[in-house]
Amino acid sequence: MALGNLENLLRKYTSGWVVISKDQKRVLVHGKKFSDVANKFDSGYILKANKDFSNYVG
Amino acid sequence: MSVKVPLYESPIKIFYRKLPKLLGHGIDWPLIDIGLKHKSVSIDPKLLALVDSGASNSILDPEIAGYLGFDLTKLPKRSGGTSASGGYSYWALPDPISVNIYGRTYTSNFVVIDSPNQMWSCILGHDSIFRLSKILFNTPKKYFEVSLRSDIN
Repeated sequence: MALGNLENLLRKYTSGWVVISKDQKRVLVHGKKFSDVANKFDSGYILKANKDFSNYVG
Repeated sequence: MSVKVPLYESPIKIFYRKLPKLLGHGIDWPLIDIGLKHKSVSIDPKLLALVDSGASNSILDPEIAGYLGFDLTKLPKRSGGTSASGGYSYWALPDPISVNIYGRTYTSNFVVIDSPNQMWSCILGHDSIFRLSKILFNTPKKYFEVSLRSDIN
Protein backbone atom coordinates (compact mmCIF):
# COMPACT_ATOMS: atom_id res chain seq x y z
CA MET A 1 0.00 0.00 0.00
CA ALA A 2 1.52 3.28 -1.09
CA LEU A 3 1.35 5.78 1.74
CA GLY A 4 0.46 9.42 1.32
CA ASN A 5 2.61 12.32 2.39
CA LEU A 6 1.70 12.83 6.03
CA GLU A 7 3.72 16.02 6.27
CA ASN A 8 1.67 17.71 3.55
CA LEU A 9 -1.59 16.19 4.73
CA LEU A 10 -1.27 17.53 8.26
CA ARG A 11 0.22 20.92 7.51
CA LYS A 12 -3.10 22.76 7.70
CA TYR A 13 -4.16 21.05 10.95
CA THR A 14 -2.33 22.98 13.64
CA SER A 15 -4.31 22.13 16.76
CA GLY A 16 -6.78 19.64 18.12
CA TRP A 17 -6.96 16.02 17.08
CA VAL A 18 -7.15 14.21 13.76
CA VAL A 19 -7.88 10.74 12.50
CA ILE A 20 -5.94 9.93 9.37
CA SER A 21 -6.70 7.09 7.00
CA LYS A 22 -4.44 4.04 7.07
CA ASP A 23 -2.94 4.98 3.73
CA GLN A 24 -2.20 8.45 5.15
CA LYS A 25 -3.93 10.12 2.23
CA ARG A 26 -6.99 11.57 3.97
CA VAL A 27 -7.92 13.23 7.23
CA LEU A 28 -11.11 11.41 8.20
CA VAL A 29 -12.08 13.73 11.01
CA HIS A 30 -10.64 16.73 12.80
CA GLY A 31 -11.87 17.92 16.16
CA LYS A 32 -10.94 20.30 18.92
CA LYS A 33 -11.24 17.68 21.64
CA PHE A 34 -10.14 14.06 21.81
CA SER A 35 -13.72 12.97 22.32
CA ASP A 36 -14.59 14.62 18.98
CA VAL A 37 -12.47 12.06 17.11
CA ALA A 38 -12.28 8.97 19.34
CA ASN A 39 -14.35 5.97 18.28
CA LYS A 40 -15.69 7.74 15.21
CA PHE A 41 -13.86 5.34 12.85
CA ASP A 42 -12.76 1.73 13.15
CA SER A 43 -9.80 2.16 10.87
CA GLY A 44 -7.07 4.77 10.67
CA TYR A 45 -4.87 6.43 13.25
CA ILE A 46 -5.48 9.09 15.87
CA LEU A 47 -2.87 11.80 16.21
CA LYS A 48 -2.63 15.15 17.94
CA ALA A 49 -2.33 18.01 15.50
CA ASN A 50 0.53 20.46 15.86
CA LYS A 51 1.85 23.18 13.62
CA ASP A 52 5.40 22.17 14.35
CA PHE A 53 6.69 18.76 15.36
CA SER A 54 10.29 19.86 15.61
CA ASN A 55 12.38 20.84 18.62
CA TYR A 56 11.00 18.15 20.89
CA VAL A 57 13.40 16.88 23.54
CA GLY A 58 12.05 14.16 25.77
CA MET B 1 14.08 -32.85 25.71
CA SER B 2 12.49 -29.45 26.16
CA VAL B 3 12.05 -27.06 23.27
CA LYS B 4 13.59 -23.67 23.85
CA VAL B 5 11.16 -20.88 23.02
CA PRO B 6 12.88 -17.75 21.66
CA LEU B 7 12.66 -14.81 24.03
CA TYR B 8 11.68 -12.45 21.21
CA GLU B 9 9.26 -12.78 18.34
CA SER B 10 10.28 -11.90 14.80
CA PRO B 11 10.97 -8.17 14.40
CA ILE B 12 8.24 -5.88 13.12
CA LYS B 13 9.66 -3.28 10.79
CA ILE B 14 8.03 0.13 11.15
CA PHE B 15 8.99 3.10 9.02
CA TYR B 16 9.35 6.51 10.61
CA ARG B 17 6.58 8.97 9.86
CA LYS B 18 7.43 12.45 8.69
CA LEU B 19 5.43 15.15 10.48
CA PRO B 20 5.24 18.87 9.77
CA LYS B 21 7.83 21.36 10.81
CA LEU B 22 7.08 25.07 10.83
CA LEU B 23 9.96 25.93 8.53
CA GLY B 24 11.63 23.57 6.11
CA HIS B 25 11.14 19.87 5.70
CA GLY B 26 9.35 17.73 8.24
CA ILE B 27 10.83 15.55 10.93
CA ASP B 28 10.90 11.75 10.90
CA TRP B 29 9.51 10.26 14.07
CA PRO B 30 9.41 6.67 15.38
CA LEU B 31 5.67 6.29 15.87
CA ILE B 32 3.83 3.05 16.54
CA ASP B 33 0.12 2.38 16.29
CA ILE B 34 -1.35 1.06 19.51
CA GLY B 35 -4.76 0.27 20.94
CA LEU B 36 -5.65 1.33 24.48
CA LYS B 37 -8.28 -0.06 26.81
CA HIS B 38 -9.20 0.59 30.41
CA LYS B 39 -12.01 -1.43 31.95
CA SER B 40 -14.85 -1.28 29.41
CA VAL B 41 -13.56 1.73 27.50
CA SER B 42 -11.44 1.13 24.45
CA ILE B 43 -10.20 3.59 21.87
CA ASP B 44 -10.65 3.12 18.14
CA PRO B 45 -8.95 3.58 15.82
CA LYS B 46 -5.43 3.14 17.04
CA LEU B 47 -3.27 5.94 18.37
CA LEU B 48 0.08 6.89 16.95
CA ALA B 49 2.40 6.84 19.96
CA LEU B 50 5.98 8.05 20.12
CA VAL B 51 8.55 5.40 20.98
CA ASP B 52 10.88 7.42 23.20
CA SER B 53 14.08 5.81 24.43
CA GLY B 54 14.69 8.90 26.59
CA ALA B 55 11.51 8.47 28.60
CA SER B 56 11.60 6.42 31.78
CA ASN B 57 7.83 6.64 32.14
CA SER B 58 5.04 6.20 29.63
CA ILE B 59 2.90 9.28 29.24
CA LEU B 60 -0.69 9.78 28.24
CA ASP B 61 -2.39 13.00 27.22
CA PRO B 62 -4.80 14.34 29.88
CA GLU B 63 -7.76 14.19 27.48
CA ILE B 64 -7.14 10.53 26.70
CA ALA B 65 -6.84 9.69 30.39
CA GLY B 66 -10.18 11.38 30.97
CA TYR B 67 -11.77 9.54 28.06
CA LEU B 68 -10.58 6.24 29.54
CA GLY B 69 -12.39 7.05 32.76
CA PHE B 70 -9.71 8.57 34.96
CA ASP B 71 -10.83 11.64 36.89
CA LEU B 72 -7.63 13.60 37.32
CA THR B 73 -9.30 16.02 39.73
CA LYS B 74 -9.64 13.14 42.19
CA LEU B 75 -6.06 11.95 41.90
CA PRO B 76 -3.13 13.40 43.85
CA LYS B 77 -0.88 15.56 41.75
CA ARG B 78 2.76 14.76 42.31
CA SER B 79 5.80 16.94 41.81
CA GLY B 80 9.26 15.74 40.99
CA GLY B 81 8.98 14.90 37.33
CA THR B 82 12.06 15.88 35.37
CA SER B 83 12.43 16.64 31.69
CA ALA B 84 14.98 18.37 29.51
CA SER B 85 13.03 21.59 29.99
CA GLY B 86 12.86 21.33 33.77
CA GLY B 87 10.51 19.95 36.36
CA TYR B 88 6.88 19.06 35.95
CA SER B 89 3.94 17.85 38.00
CA TYR B 90 2.06 14.73 37.07
CA TRP B 91 -0.64 12.28 37.99
CA ALA B 92 0.14 8.57 38.19
CA LEU B 93 -2.87 6.68 36.87
CA PRO B 94 -3.97 4.21 39.55
CA ASP B 95 -4.82 1.35 37.19
CA PRO B 96 -2.72 -0.22 34.49
CA ILE B 97 -3.99 0.23 30.93
CA SER B 98 -4.20 -2.52 28.31
CA VAL B 99 -1.96 -1.73 25.39
CA ASN B 100 -2.40 -3.60 22.12
CA ILE B 101 0.73 -3.69 20.01
CA TYR B 102 0.43 -5.52 16.72
CA GLY B 103 -2.07 -8.03 18.03
CA ARG B 104 -0.41 -8.63 21.39
CA THR B 105 -1.98 -7.17 24.51
CA TYR B 106 0.07 -6.03 27.47
CA THR B 107 -0.66 -3.94 30.52
CA SER B 108 1.30 -0.85 31.35
CA ASN B 109 1.28 1.98 33.84
CA PHE B 110 1.00 5.55 32.60
CA VAL B 111 1.49 9.00 34.00
CA VAL B 112 -0.24 12.18 32.88
CA ILE B 113 1.78 15.38 32.81
CA ASP B 114 0.07 18.53 34.02
CA SER B 115 0.46 20.50 30.82
CA PRO B 116 -2.30 21.23 28.32
CA ASN B 117 -0.06 21.74 25.31
CA GLN B 118 1.73 18.49 24.85
CA MET B 119 2.89 17.47 21.43
CA TRP B 120 2.23 13.75 21.68
CA SER B 121 -0.96 11.93 22.55
CA CYS B 122 1.01 9.06 23.99
CA ILE B 123 4.67 8.39 24.71
CA LEU B 124 5.91 4.86 25.26
CA GLY B 125 9.00 4.73 27.45
CA HIS B 126 11.11 2.28 29.33
CA ASP B 127 8.32 1.09 31.61
CA SER B 128 6.21 -0.10 28.67
CA ILE B 129 7.44 -0.86 25.19
CA PHE B 130 11.10 -1.06 26.15
CA ARG B 131 10.21 -3.55 28.86
CA LEU B 132 8.08 -5.56 26.48
CA SER B 133 10.34 -5.69 23.47
CA LYS B 134 13.74 -5.26 21.97
CA ILE B 135 13.91 -2.19 19.74
CA LEU B 136 16.44 -1.36 17.09
CA PHE B 137 16.39 2.18 15.73
CA ASN B 138 17.79 2.59 12.24
CA THR B 139 17.42 6.32 11.76
CA PRO B 140 19.66 6.57 8.67
CA LYS B 141 17.30 4.10 6.96
CA LYS B 142 14.24 5.74 8.57
CA TYR B 143 12.79 2.68 10.25
CA PHE B 144 12.85 0.88 13.55
CA GLU B 145 12.27 -2.74 14.44
CA VAL B 146 10.25 -3.98 17.39
CA SER B 147 10.77 -7.55 18.57
CA LEU B 148 8.11 -8.30 21.15
CA ARG B 149 8.97 -10.54 24.05
CA SER B 150 7.27 -13.92 23.87
CA ASP B 151 7.37 -14.57 27.62
CA ILE B 152 5.05 -11.76 28.73
CA ASN B 153 1.25 -12.09 28.54
